Amino acid sequence: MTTLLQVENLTKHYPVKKGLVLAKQVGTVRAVDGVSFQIERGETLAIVGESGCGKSTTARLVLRLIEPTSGTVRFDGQEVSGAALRTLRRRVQVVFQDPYASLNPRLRVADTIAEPMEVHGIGTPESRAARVRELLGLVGLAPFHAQRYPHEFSGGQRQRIGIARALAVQPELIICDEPVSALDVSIQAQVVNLLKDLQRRFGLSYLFIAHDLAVVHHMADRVAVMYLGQIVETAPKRAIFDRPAHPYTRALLSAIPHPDPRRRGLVKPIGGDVPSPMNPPPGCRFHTRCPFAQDRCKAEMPVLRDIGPGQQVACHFAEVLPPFDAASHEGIAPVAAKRLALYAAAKARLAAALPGRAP
Amino acid sequence: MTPLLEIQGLRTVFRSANGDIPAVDGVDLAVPRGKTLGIVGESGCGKSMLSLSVMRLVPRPGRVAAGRVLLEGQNLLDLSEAGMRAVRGGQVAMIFQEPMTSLNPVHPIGLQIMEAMRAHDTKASNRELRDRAIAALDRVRIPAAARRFDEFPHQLSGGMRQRVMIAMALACRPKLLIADEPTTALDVTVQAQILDLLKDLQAETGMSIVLITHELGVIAEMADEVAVMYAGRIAERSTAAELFASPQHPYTLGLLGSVPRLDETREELLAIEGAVPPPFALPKGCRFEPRCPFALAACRSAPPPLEEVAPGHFAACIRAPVENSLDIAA
Repeated sequence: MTTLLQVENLTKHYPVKKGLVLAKQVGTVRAVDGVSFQIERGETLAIVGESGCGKSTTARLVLRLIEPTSGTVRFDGQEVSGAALRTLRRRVQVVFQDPYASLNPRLRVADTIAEPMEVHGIGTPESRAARVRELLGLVGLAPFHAQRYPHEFSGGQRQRIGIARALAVQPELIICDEPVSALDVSIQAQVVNLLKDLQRRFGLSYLFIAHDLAVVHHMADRVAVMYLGQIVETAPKRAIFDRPAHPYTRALLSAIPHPDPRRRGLVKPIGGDVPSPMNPPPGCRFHTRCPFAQDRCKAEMPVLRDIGPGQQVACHFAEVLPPFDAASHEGIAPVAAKRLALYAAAKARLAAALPGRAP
Repeated sequence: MTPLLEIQGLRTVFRSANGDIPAVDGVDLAVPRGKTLGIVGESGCGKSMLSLSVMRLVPRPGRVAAGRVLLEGQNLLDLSEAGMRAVRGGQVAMIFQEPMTSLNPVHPIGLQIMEAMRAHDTKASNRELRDRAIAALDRVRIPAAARRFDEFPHQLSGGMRQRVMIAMALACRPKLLIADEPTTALDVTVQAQILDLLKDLQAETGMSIVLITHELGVIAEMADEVAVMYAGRIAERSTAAELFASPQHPYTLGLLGSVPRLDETREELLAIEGAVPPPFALPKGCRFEPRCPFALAACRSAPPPLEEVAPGHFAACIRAPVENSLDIAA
């Protein structure tokens, strides 16, 4: 595998000013504070964290929708700047969270999907129209949808349009900024399946921003956990879910309610809110909420260090934490599992018999 | 023991040029005392309209066309507007999904809680109400409640705002709390805190909770009884333990299959194809039939009745349980 995207020491600081005429800088919001990661070709890297942790800012920095304060972004070995930016804008596309805000309400779907091709001067009007039809089919919509306006679609269908638009210029990397968190569960599952299917077909790489570790469990190959502008743990998916090393990763995992009443009462909330990124706590930024915090955590900031194959963690005490009670592998109840299997089989039979039935 | 709230044959419709459009269509439910009833379904299933009907807050041109809503035996639909106003916030309180839009941005949170208390208590002095409002903030575990009293909604985090909403809802010690997607807009860590708080408060006060959500994880964590709603009707109803152990309705199966789980490694999620039909274009027969992989011709002819498939377990599907049909099991 080759590295497609390499991000090093990416930083975004916003000045906080006070005063009307002679605005004085009174502080700095460290939205993203020294973030490094890489994405291989065909890989999905998920960045997870609570709101305000800087994950969406990171996505926008990679896209250069905002200028970083410092740090470099290398795409396919080339540093992104000047002329390289235009190429980047074709080879990297984005799918946004809110399918209601990310489509122009005055443009027909065909024009929305064709716009990126027009911008990059790809094809003729006829070839673009043909491509729009092809893309609509790829994301499970019908050709006649091309002439409609966004308000005529449901949230899930709009997100499919957003995905078709992202695919239009044959990108290599798609940045998905919480693409399913505004959708209903059943629709979430449709969109997650679609994204995975497209990845298999076109060898796409994804940078998948999410706050929901359960969705990440289905999408990602590797996971980076962010807290207050920094990555606190990064590891292959299995390791994150089986052997989470950072107390914050553990807190995120144990906050997920399981769809299983037999496991009721195992959700253990951590106290407190995310501190303000304007005054991050000294030392380890998580120490104010960490159940394992020691004096050293208040004074000394831990750095990301290797603790296992592909697993890095920023915690002084990662090795000596008590073992994590990972999600039990009880799985779904047997009767429910049997019926779900029948449901899947019936669905597959139906799809084979009626390929025209719209997904 | 009689249930605290009984909903019988509730039908809520919206008037249109083409006749009445049903949003809630013949729903029977009971909320046991001191317990939590979870209502689950996708957006557009009528779960919010159901709760607004109970509160008699259905927006125009909607109205409750039929049915009874019995709170301790009294039909809320028969009450005068003034009588209903005393019930709202008094015996029955409600919290909503988006705590920012439910709070008034230009008033301190403490005053807003006092306002809710004043509506039900005209005698107490302002000082007394202020103390009670601070106690209410304290009860929902807001740190430094006396200092927070004078803060504005924008100064609080999403989780804190939802706590303020809960404090306001519980200000008059309601017997029933209707929580409409109370954690959907929150981070999973904050969601865990809020659910924990609701459980603690229920244990303290013995109130009943109607929890509306589209997340089966939240249902599994919180609910004693569950009703699965689809297109304005109850598709399935049972205890939470029974529903997850032996789901009967294909819609429930589809919802369960859609949830990404940490304790298994399926490659593909079992999504439900298609979307909820809009209330003005409902299928004549079973409303889930167009999306159901088990559908037969008979499913199209008449809506299936909600039948008891096991003690206390009801499902509206002629194919339930699915493994008993030969063509499916084959």
